[in-house]
Amino acid sequence: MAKIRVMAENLANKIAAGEVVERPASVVKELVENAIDAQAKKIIVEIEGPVCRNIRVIDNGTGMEEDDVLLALERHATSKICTEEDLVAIKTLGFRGEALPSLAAVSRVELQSRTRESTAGTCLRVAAGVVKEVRQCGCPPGTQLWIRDLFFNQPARRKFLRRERTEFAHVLDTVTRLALARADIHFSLRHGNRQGHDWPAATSLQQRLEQVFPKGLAQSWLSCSHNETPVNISGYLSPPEVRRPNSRMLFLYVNGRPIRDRLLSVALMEAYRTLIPKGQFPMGVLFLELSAELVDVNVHPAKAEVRFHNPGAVFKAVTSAAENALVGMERRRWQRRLGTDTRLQPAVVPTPQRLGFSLGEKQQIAEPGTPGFMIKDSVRYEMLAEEETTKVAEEEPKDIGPFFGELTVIGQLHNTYILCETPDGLILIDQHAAHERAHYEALRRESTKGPLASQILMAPATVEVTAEEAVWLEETLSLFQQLGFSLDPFGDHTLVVRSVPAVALRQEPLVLLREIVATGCSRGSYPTSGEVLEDLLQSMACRLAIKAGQRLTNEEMVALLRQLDGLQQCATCPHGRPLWWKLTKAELERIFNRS
Amino acid sequence: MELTIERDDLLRGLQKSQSVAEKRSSMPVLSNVLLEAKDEYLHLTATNLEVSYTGSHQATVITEGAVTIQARKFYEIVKELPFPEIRILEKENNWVNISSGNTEYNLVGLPADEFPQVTKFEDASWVEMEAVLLKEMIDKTLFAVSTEETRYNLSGIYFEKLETEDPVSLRLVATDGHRLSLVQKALPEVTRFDFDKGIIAPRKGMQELSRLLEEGEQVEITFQENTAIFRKAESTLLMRLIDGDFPDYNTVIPKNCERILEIERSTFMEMLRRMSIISTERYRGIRCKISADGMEIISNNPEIGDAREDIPVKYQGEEMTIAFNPRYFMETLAVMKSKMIAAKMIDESSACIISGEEDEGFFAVIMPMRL
Repeated sequence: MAKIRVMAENLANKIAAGEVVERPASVVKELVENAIDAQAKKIIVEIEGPVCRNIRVIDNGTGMEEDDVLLALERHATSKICTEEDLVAIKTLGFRGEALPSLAAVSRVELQSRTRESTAGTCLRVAAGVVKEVRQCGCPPGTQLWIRDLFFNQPARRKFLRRERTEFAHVLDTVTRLALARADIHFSLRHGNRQGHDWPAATSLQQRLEQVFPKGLAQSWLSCSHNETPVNISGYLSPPEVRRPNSRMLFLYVNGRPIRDRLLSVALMEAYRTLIPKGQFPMGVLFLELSAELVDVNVHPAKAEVRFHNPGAVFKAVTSAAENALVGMERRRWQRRLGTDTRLQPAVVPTPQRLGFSLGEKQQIAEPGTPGFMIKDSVRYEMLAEEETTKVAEEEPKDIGPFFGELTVIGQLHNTYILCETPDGLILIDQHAAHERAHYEALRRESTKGPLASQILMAPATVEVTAEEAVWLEETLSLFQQLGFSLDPFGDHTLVVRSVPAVALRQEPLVLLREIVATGCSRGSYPTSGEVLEDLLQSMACRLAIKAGQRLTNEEMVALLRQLDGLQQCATCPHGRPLWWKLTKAELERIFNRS
Repeated sequence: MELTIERDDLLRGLQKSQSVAEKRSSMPVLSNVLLEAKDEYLHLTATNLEVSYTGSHQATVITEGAVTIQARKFYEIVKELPFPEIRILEKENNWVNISSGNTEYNLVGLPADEFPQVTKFEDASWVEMEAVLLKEMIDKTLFAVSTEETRYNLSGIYFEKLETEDPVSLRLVATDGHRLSLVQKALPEVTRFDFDKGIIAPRKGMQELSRLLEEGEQVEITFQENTAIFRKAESTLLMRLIDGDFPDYNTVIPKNCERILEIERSTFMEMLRRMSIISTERYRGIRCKISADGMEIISNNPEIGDAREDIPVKYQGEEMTIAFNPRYFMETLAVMKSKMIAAKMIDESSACIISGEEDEGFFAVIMPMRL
């Protein structure tokens, strides 16, 4: 007997379900995406039962006729694509025709659907992939789906479900991702008897952000846009001091499809690289629009991953869009308040809290002529409602405050901080961080032009390294040439130094070398040599900079402040620690009860 | 303690004392000058523990005694006093009264026994040397001393006696690892210096000594254990020698330099000054393109702009482009007096030797840069 047989339809569906349906949140994702593809204006999601195994999604979209209802449960049955050409240029969220049959294979499904044209709806009940009942019923236009007892026939899967709270958090995350992409749709999420979240159709992304996130959180976010072929980018990113220890609050979309993509995160982090500490991430919502032929979404059954035809260009575009947004922020730096209470609790559902921002940076968003951004070909969103713009513009002064060089230096605190007077408060500047940033930018600028200027030594010097450092140096030795060190290994644990960076001559270059090697080695391996160089430059800047505890004369302080004005970024040191902090006059008045 | 002293004598002594005394120190007494009235003399002593200065000035001592007061303030006071004679009177609790004409000051002092003991040197065997000669030798090397704190053995001038040479000579060498300066003079007396081969004298001490030698005449020198003592008229300067081995500098002095550039010292100096206006940072280099047709210097600073200048020179050797820190050349040329100087080179990554006919016994070695 032949060993190879074609699988039964039901078995194939169960296998497909393994890929598509992982947990309640993936059910919600598939169903809500279907609802969006059905042009619904309102989508209600209800979650019930232990570990969220009962799910109901109601939409007011186009609905289905009876024949279609039956077909929808067939594998690879879809209304979304019909030719191969369609697959190359997918414009809907779903297209594989796998979701419904997969779902039906692992749960009890009840579906009610009616088109606007028909008088009666269709009701269909399926259990474990077997049709139990088809009948006419009365129902509103659109589609309702009940998923009951998810994984009732798959005990193994059931075991992997987490606590109800965790599962619901995943559902909320899924709905949030989709809701951010479609501000024009009314989303409603219920959990058991509680009305969890209700986000009526919004007129702008800004408005949707305010609905979805705790009050004030998104206010400080910076508008971000990039309009160049092949990629259009729009969205909002948090300023560097508002950050989280994970990337869960980074919402990335390609052609309106929520995705998680390492390339995009890395590109985005590139812009923040020297602004936030390692292991911290900004928050934000970023939409990439590119012609459907340039991106392949058919990579992953759940479509969380995509492939770009030209990843380099996408990478560059994302980095430059984010950098521009951050540079824009720098220009308004004096109105922005760097506060201590800006960090969020790491929770999937952030709790509302007061954020230390005095400025919602909205006026920039609504510049006349800013094109709205495209989520799908058919729908166009304006970024901001007209009346809101005018209101904001009145509230916030538009002038850019003084530059660092124009500040009045009051003095030095603890030989560590430079205190400066501004018309609206007191600014404290960390002298080491400031000088480090200045050095870093200068070194970086020079290193792009070739190796740093190097002074040849009269007699080669030797530096001892540990065994671990020696191994690390095997791969990174050539990079030290870029920094102006020419080094040769000599024996296992010794380096011969033939020349040293001219910039470090007065700061004991051999000590510097030893420190850079030790720091670099302790960081471990890097994906690219560019990142190592970057890190080496950072630690070099750090060593060259004046230290905390060093007394500075008034002239030295003024000179340092002037240097800051020439910098591209001056909010943080290259390791992402804040460089300055402002205590506003209002805060001082509050402290002294002078209101 | 009570005494009267001529204002000008006191002022001279205080000027030298206050430059040795610590400006900011964790030990307050080190900012003070020690006044000791004994026999017919007022001895002024200042120290930073590395270098000590003592000035002995004739005075009319009424009561012997000792006290310390702030060196800087005392100097400023005496500088402004117009009268030829000054009276110093120690009062209770180390208060010191200074009066002259109708002016009177009361200064807070510290007890003399808090002041660190300065090495005594009664039975030393002194060697005499011409002050101007020693000053020239110090000035020709001092600028090359390392300022890096960790390179302790390079933080002074190396005094080496060359007894095998004929005539017997004293050689001073200083280097910071990127350039070296060496001067050698015949000095028969050097055989009597009480050290084996060489000693390292600290930079701060050499600065003070150079100042002290300005007035010419003879200077007496002695070395005792780890101390060098220089005595000239009323002044005595002690310094603790640097404990360490000076590296073998002979290996870094290039031999067989076949490319020789000759240029007028003052012209070269002015040219370097013009070119280095562009490089505000101390570390920036310049490029010298040298051929038989002449030398072109190019200075480039991405933040400011660039500059170039060319000049006809006498040059034998292959055409080459070599980069240098212009400061190293300028500092060297500044201590030389020759009209024409010669720069001898091997290639663009090896040392360059600078010398001049009228700077007898002197040469400098400068390492190039890679730009």
